[in-house]
Amino acid sequence: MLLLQLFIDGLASGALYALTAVGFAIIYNGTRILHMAHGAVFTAGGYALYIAVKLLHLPMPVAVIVALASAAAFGVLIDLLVYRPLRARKSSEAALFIGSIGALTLCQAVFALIFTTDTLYLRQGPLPLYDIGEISLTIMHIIAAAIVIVVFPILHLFLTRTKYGRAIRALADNPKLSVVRGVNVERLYMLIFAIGSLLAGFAVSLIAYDLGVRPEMGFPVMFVSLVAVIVGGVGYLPGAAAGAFLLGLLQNLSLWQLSGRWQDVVVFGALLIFLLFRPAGLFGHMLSTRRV
Amino acid sequence: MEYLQHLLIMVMIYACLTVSLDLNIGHAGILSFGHASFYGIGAYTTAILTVYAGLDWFTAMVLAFAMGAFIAVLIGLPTLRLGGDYFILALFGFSLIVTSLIINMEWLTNGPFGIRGVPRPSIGSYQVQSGYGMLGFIAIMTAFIFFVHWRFASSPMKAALHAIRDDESVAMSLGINVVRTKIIVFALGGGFAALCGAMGAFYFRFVSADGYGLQTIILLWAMLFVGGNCSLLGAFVGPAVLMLFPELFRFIGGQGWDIGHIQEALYGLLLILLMMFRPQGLVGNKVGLRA
Repeated sequence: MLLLQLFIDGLASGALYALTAVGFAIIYNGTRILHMAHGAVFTAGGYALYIAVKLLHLPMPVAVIVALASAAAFGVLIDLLVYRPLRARKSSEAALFIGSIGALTLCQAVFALIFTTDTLYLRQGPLPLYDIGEISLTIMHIIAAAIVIVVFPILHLFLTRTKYGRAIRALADNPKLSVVRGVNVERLYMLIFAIGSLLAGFAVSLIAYDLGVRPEMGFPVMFVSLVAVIVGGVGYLPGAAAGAFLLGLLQNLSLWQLSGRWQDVVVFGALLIFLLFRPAGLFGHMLSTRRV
Repeated sequence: MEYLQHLLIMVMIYACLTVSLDLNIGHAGILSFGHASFYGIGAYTTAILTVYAGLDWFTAMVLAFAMGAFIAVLIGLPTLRLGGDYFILALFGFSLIVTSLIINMEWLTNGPFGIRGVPRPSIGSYQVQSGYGMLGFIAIMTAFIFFVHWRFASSPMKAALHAIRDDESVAMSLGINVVRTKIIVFALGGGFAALCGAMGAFYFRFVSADGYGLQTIILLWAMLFVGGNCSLLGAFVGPAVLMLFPELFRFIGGQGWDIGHIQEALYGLLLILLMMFRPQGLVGNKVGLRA
């Protein structure tokens, strides 16, 4: 039954990757920025949760809202302080990428200076287990599932039914035409960064509560998400989510045969195989343009 | 004095690495976000060949170059056709896999403990020792690598590369074999980075798995863009500024703060500000990759 347990664990980590991956994909599709600093946004959410819980002693639901708001605000701030000035001087994509790397490095170092490199824990001891048959679930599995089930439909409704959601999709589809049609691009970018970062906030709240907060915690998660976006197919949000679940499952199921230290090789081996044989990703064939 | 020697040697090794990265990024527009791996491959090849296989230093160094170039061809063949972002990601994936293999293939690399006892180079009966001998050796290697790049900068290949960097379709329409040219230059970049790895292995007499990951990649990119790409002077200025700046900081006194993190914060800030205000780097000219 080890395999079934690993499958459940894979789904749970897939759910967390899906939240960051879809957040990353919204930003990537909408702005075409390879937003490496998404990892820093993720970490910022984690530290916000830590401050809210441990230093301000807020009740958990309020603390999570604080973390979500902080992550969203941090994402918007990075757009305003780093990407917007670069866009203003018509920088190339390479320059935006380097700026993003700079922001990631700067933020990680500042977090390490403020909070030290130690892991800060939000709780002690193991989580209670719920045994169902031969598999055991923790509260984290259940909350991760619940968040995904609630958040993704809301996101879908937002993107398809509201004015701003449609504007985001239009911008991803055809930036020039959206400008002609009167979309305020700079303001929309702020919204895109807020939503993308908010999704990372959900994931980090769970991870921070479960495993604690470290300055460099965001980077591996961000990178797996980025791989998920490619594996799922750039330009198609459900693809990013599917890619994330695939990688979560792959990571956990590989533990059945390989030791945990090969996980990097598994994830990036999958990436390289996809890039070689199916660069369009799982769902890439379903569309000719990129859409949110 | 010894410390000054160490700093000089480090600046020279990083200058060589920067110039090998510049060959890819500045001249060819190949955003090699995994360059540190070739450095690592060179260092490990040298260490394994000299310590375990007992080869002499020169053969080991030449084979390290060949290994770097060979692996660059191997990874470049499938990935160089990919678009910008995909290529960045693929190369970073490659570098994670290289680090993971170094740590996990214990029978070959001694895992996380690294390999000790890399011999110092010797010429005839003269054995290079630490201090001035090593400084001289690294200086000669640096001069050689810079000379090769300087010659390269006046070769017809450079014109072809710049054409590819600036507009691939135009280059193709002019009859340039884009993929082949890119693979050649990627292999050269990988080979020279591996050569730097050999230099590092001879200097430290020790190789270990950390030091070829994300931090080093970012450091190399920062060095290249601080100095400015497509510039031999820039390839020296970047490493010099980034290596000596923290020393200045130590001088002013920043006790109680972790120097390493302040350094990283500065690198990050510097990268952002450079992209905003001086994308061509401190001494670079505007012929390089348009940032």
